[in-house]
Amino acid sequence: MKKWLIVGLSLCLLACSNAPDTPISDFEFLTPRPFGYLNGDEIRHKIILETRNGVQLQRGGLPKRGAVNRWLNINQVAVNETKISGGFRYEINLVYQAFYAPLEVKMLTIPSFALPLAQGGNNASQTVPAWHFSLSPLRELSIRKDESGQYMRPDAAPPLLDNTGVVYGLWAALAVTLSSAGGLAYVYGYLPGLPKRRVFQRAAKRLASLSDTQIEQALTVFHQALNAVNGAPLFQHQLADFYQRHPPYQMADAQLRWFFQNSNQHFFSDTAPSSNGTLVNLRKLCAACLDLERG
Amino acid sequence: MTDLHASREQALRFEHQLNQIVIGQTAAVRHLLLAVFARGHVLLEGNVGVGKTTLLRAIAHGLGGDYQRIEGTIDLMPADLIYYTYLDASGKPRVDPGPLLNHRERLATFFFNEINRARPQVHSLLLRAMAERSVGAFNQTYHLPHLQVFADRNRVEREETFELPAAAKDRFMFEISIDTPSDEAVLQALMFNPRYHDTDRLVQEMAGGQIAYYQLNEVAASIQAHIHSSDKLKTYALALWQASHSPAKFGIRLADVDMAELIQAGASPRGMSFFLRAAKTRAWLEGRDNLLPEDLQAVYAVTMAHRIFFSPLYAYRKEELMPQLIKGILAQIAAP
Repeated sequence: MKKWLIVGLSLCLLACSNAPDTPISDFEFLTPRPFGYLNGDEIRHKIILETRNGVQLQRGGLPKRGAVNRWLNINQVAVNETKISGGFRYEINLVYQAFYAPLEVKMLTIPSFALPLAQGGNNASQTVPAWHFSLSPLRELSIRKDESGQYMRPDAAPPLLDNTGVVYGLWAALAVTLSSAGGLAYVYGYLPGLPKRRVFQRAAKRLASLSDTQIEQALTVFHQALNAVNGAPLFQHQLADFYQRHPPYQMADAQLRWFFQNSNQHFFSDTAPSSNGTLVNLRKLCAACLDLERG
Repeated sequence: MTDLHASREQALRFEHQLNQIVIGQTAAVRHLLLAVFARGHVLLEGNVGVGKTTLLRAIAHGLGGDYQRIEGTIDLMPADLIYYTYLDASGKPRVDPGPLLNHRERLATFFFNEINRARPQVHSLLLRAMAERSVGAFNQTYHLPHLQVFADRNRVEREETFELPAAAKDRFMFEISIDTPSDEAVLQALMFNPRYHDTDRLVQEMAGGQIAYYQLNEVAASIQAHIHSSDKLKTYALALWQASHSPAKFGIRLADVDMAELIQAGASPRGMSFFLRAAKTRAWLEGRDNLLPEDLQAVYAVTMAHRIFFSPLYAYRKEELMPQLIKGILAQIAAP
C-alpha cells in the first residue's frame, strides 16, 4: 500500500513538473499532404496556439501577405483570437501559393518562421517549422514526337450553365420594352412609317413658326393637315362623312366648322374677316386635333 | 334693278312645289332649277316613266310662257320643226309655222322628247336654236329670246337611234340623269296615291306663271354679276377644268385604265362657262354672294360628264368609268 502511494505522488510531481511557467500550453501545426502539387496550387496551413498567463501573440510579427521568395506567395493571413482560461487561443490560417515550374518532381520548402509572443515586458516566441513538399511538372520535359501536337491541347470547354429560362426572360423583357417604346412612339407620332399619326404634330410646328400676318399660310397648313387625315381634300360639306370615318374628330366639330367658315371667308370672299385671334384659335384647334390624333 | 333676294325666295318656293309634284327627285329638281336660272339647256336621261315629262310640264307651267313639245322620230326632218304644209278648207296650200316658230318670243320651254331618235340633220338645226336662240326661216331670222330646250333620251333602247354629236351635246348646259326612286315610301306613294296617277291634274295643282319667264334672262344676268369669285376659287375652277383634259396630271388613277390614253377630248371652253354660270346660280340659291368650292362641286358632274369624251378603247365602258373619273377629280383636287 505504501508502495502504491509513493508511485502516485511521483506521478503527481511529474505532472506538475511540466514547466507551468512556459508561455504556451498548446501548439499545433496542421498541414495538408506534402506531395502532388502543381504550379499555381494553393497550400493551406493552420496553426493553433494556446497561451497561458495572459501571454499574447504579437500580430505585427506574423508573415505578411505578398511574396515570401521568388516562387512563393502568401495570399491570405487570418488570425482568429479567443480568450480561454488564463490565456488566449489563436487560430492562424495561412494560404500559400507556389509559382514554381519544375522540370521534374522537386522537393521545395516553405520556410520556417517564429511567432512572437509577449507578456508585459517579457518576450518569447514559438517557432513554426519549415514544411517540405514536392511539386510536380505539368508535363514531361519534352513532347513526344509521335503525338503530333495533340499532346499540347487546351482543356475541353466547360459545359455552359443552363440559361434557357434567363434567355426566355430576356426576350420577354425585350419584347415588352420594345412594344412599350413602339406604343409610345405611335402615340407621340414618332414613327416615320405612320405619317398620319404625325399630321397635326407637324402642323403645330409649322403654325408655331407663323405670325399674324401669315393667316393664309396658317389656314393652308391646317387644310393640308385635315386633307392628310382624310386621305383626300376635305370640304366643309363633307364633315359629316369625315366624322363617320374618324369619329374622335367630332369632338372638335364646333372648332372645325369655325375653321372652315373662316377659311372660306379668307380664301373665297371679297371681304376678308379680321385676322385678330385667328392664329391663336388655329393653334388651339391644332392642339385639340393633336390630342385627338394621339387618342 | 332685279331684286335677287325676292327672286331667290320665289325660286325656292318653286323648287318646293316641284318636289311636291315629282317626288323622290330632289337632286334632279335642284339641277333643273339651276338650269332655269342659269339659262342653260338641259339634256335629260333616264328610264321611261320616271317623271321626266311631268317634271318638264310642271316647270313650263310654273314659268308661264308657251310650252312646245315634239317627239323625235327617225323620219323627222329639220323642216318639220320650222313649218308644216297642208291644204286648207278651200283647198289652197298653206304654210304655217312649225313647233319652233309657232310661239315666237313667247316660247319658253321646248321639250324635245327622245332626241336621239331624230336624225343628225335635226340635231344640227338645234345647234343654232340653242346657242343663239334664233332660227332662220322664210328668209328672215326669228328670235326666241326666252327659249330653253329640254331634250330627253331614254337609256333603254339603242336601236334606231342616233348618238348626239359632240357639238350638239356641248350646247346643253347640263345632262341630268333621272333615275327611278329607290325610297320605298316614295314608291308606295307613286303606286297607291291617286294624286300621282293623273299627271294633268297634278301639274295644274301648281300655281301657273309664278316666275315670269320673260324676266329670267335679266335675273340670270343679275345673278352672274352679283356673285363674286376670288382668285383662289378661279384657280380651283381652272384645275377642275384642266383635270377633265389631263386627269393623270392631278394624280387621278382609275383601275384597269391607262390614264394617258383615257381622254380623247375634255370639256370645252363653253362648258367651262356653263360650269361657272351654274355654280354661281347655286351660290345665289344658297344665299351667298360669293362662290365656294362646294358650288363648283355640286354642278361639276352634270356640266362636265357629257363634255368629256373617252378614247374608243374606253368609250364602251363610259357608264362605268365616267362616275369614277368625276369622283376622282373632285376627291383629288384641293382648294385651297
